Amino acid sequence: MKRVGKPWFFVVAALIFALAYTSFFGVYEQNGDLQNTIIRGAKDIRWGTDIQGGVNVIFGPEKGINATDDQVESAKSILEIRLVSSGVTDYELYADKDNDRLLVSFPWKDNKSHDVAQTLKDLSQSAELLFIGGQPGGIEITYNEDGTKSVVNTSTGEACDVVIEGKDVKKAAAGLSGDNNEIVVNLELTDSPAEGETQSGAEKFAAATEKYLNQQISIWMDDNLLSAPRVNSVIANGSAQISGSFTAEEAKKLADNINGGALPFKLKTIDYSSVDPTLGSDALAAMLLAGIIAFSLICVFMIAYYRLPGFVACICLLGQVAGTIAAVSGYFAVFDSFTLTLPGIAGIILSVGMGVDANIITAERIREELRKGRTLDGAIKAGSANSFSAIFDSNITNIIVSVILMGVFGPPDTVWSTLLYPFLWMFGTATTGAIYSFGYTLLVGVILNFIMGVAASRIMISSLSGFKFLRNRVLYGDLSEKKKQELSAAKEASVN
Amino acid sequence: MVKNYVERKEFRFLENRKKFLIAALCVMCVGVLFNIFKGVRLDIKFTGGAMLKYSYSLDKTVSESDVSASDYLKLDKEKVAAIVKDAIQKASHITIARSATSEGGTKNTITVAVSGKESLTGDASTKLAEKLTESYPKVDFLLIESNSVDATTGGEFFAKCLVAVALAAVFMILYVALRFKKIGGMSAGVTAIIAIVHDCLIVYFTFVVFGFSIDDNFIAVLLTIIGYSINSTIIIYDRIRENRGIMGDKATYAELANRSLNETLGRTVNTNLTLLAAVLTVVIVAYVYDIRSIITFAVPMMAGVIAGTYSSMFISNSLWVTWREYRDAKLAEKKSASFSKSKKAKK
Repeated sequence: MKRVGKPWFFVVAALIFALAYTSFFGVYEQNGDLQNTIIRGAKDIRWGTDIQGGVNVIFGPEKGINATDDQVESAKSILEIRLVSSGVTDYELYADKDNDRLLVSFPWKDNKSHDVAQTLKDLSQSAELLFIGGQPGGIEITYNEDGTKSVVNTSTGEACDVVIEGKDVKKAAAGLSGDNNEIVVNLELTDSPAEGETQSGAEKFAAATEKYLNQQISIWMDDNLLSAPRVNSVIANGSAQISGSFTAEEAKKLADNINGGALPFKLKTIDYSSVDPTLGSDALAAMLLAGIIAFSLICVFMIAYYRLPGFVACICLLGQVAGTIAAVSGYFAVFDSFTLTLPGIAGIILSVGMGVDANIITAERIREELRKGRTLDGAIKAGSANSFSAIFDSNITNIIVSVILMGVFGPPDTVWSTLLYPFLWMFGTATTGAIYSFGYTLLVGVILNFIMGVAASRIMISSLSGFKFLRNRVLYGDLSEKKKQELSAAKEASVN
Repeated sequence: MVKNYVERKEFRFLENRKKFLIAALCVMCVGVLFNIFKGVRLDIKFTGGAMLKYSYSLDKTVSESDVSASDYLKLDKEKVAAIVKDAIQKASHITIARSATSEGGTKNTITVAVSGKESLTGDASTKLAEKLTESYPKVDFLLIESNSVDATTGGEFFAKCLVAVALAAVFMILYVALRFKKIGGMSAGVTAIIAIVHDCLIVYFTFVVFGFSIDDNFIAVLLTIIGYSINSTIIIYDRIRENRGIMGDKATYAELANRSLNETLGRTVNTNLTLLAAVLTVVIVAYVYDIRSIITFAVPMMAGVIAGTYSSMFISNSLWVTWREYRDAKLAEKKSASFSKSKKAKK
């Protein structure tokens, strides 16, 4: 390896500082009152529920009930609607179809304390799918003591005309209409009366379409309006089509939602955990403090002990931390971001402590070669060449471990859980996003260590060694001339 | 010729190998004793059960001049346990703690752990909060953390975690087998694995000694230490392979190992020292702010790092030297036996 040119140190260092600045503080564009995020900073990081406060829940059917994949999927879409309608947008929702489980995790709104019991109840109450004649501005459902319900139009205060309910719908599916290949939602109604009723869904719907011919019938999930199609003809055979220039995705969603209303199993809370926002914000401040102290301690030690290679190591570590934060926040606004939890922050701190190993291995080699009497350039070259296999070794085992951690503790449908599926297929998914985040920061830290601790640090050391005033061997760990003389004098004395 | 200025001061580690091994064995024994007498608890995440954590402070109606204000905040564990029993008909374990907040104040917390086959409903936590306020009218309770796990999903999660550890173990053994083909063969590989097992046991004993319940943090720390501690061992064995070429066949195993250990000492000590500084910082901060999830993560991690340093420096090498010397002695015995046999035959 030839010595790298002098300007390269400044190029690499400038790149690292630029990465650090942008990943910590972000880059925003002010467009009138609107602020556009170009690069996400640390404040845009999505914090885990253990920091921000929030809930993790696993829902599933009652014991002994085996739900089909479609049923789980519709349950998922119900939860989605409820979360969105209650103003939660940054939720994570996964369906584990193998084990009939639904995993939900979301932070509390407005950073305030909330009633966990009520939240769980609101989420898991059985869904009400209602077809109402006309289109009220809003509806309110109240349940009477005897189990019946009354539905009121909130804009007029009058009772709504509920024409059919979820139990009258057999099935909904997205499809193409025969006539003009338009994307539609096909609705199939029951042909026999539901329990305690006298009319089948098809009969009720026939009557309703007659009554509301050329008017709208609105479809509601709980108190959310899903769609308000217009009745074009009387439908007597129990199979209807809802058209409305849907995209394929919209049609599928509406079909899922309607099926959701016909949900055959009751959502039961299997596991849950909740954290109050006040608890988490304290913990975040504490962990940040720990990170800053740990980083400073390591820098002071590295510079004091390894001098110039130590100084370079500090810049590299800064780059590693900045890179990890960028990988968590997503950096560019178009990328997905990861959730950062307390163990995730611990993972960043830990990977700094581990990552410095690469710099130490290289610096130790250089020091050793210098003390053997090699030239400065020779020592730097040997230090780089000999240390690569050791650094590679320590990173490869850490990569194996982080991948296992992510596969085991992560949500379903990720690359990691797919990788480990052959080994872990029989187990359900658990809500331990906290450890998943640890695996992620560890993995990213280790990979960045190759870029920063190996590549960047070599370029910088080699480039710096080109400066005349930095060619003092002592800066790279060799003993000073005075010390050498003392030592050889002592050696001679002991020989004599 | 290159002049070597420094005669490195060599520590004679391998001369004391018996002491190092005995020390490790003693620590293991202490751990086992703790395990027998103190026992170990699986967390509710694995067994099923519930945990409710409330922070509590004086009610706003209590005036600052009230002399007995501080007495109101003294909660009695047994009384709370009785309230829990009354509210949700379950036995519980109560912990009371006081910790710092980021605003510089202090915070009182009370944790109610309930074990049981069935998970706790949200209603139960509401009911308990009501009962607590009834019994302590001058104190405000705020539910800050709750956790409820079904026994079946808990057991399944535990099994999944164990499979994960097994998986990591298989991968590490494969890796070691592959890697050690070049550097020392079977003897080196097996002693390296023994060192990992030692480190894992230390992590486990840390959970036992500190009374942390075995939860997903345990699994995370275990896997991390498995991945981490093998590296120092590999670096030292790598150096042994390099030095065998330099020192030739005349050097004894102990000399070889000793030289290699000394040459890699700077790296081993400094790497582990920096990591230890990082983890120790986390431990101290987590203690001051009472962040339980991080305490039960960082303390065992610290123990694992220390154990990893010790085992890679003293356990794997010492065992390796003992193994090779024993085998050579055996070989020599065999040789001389067959030699005398052939002599006899000649006669």
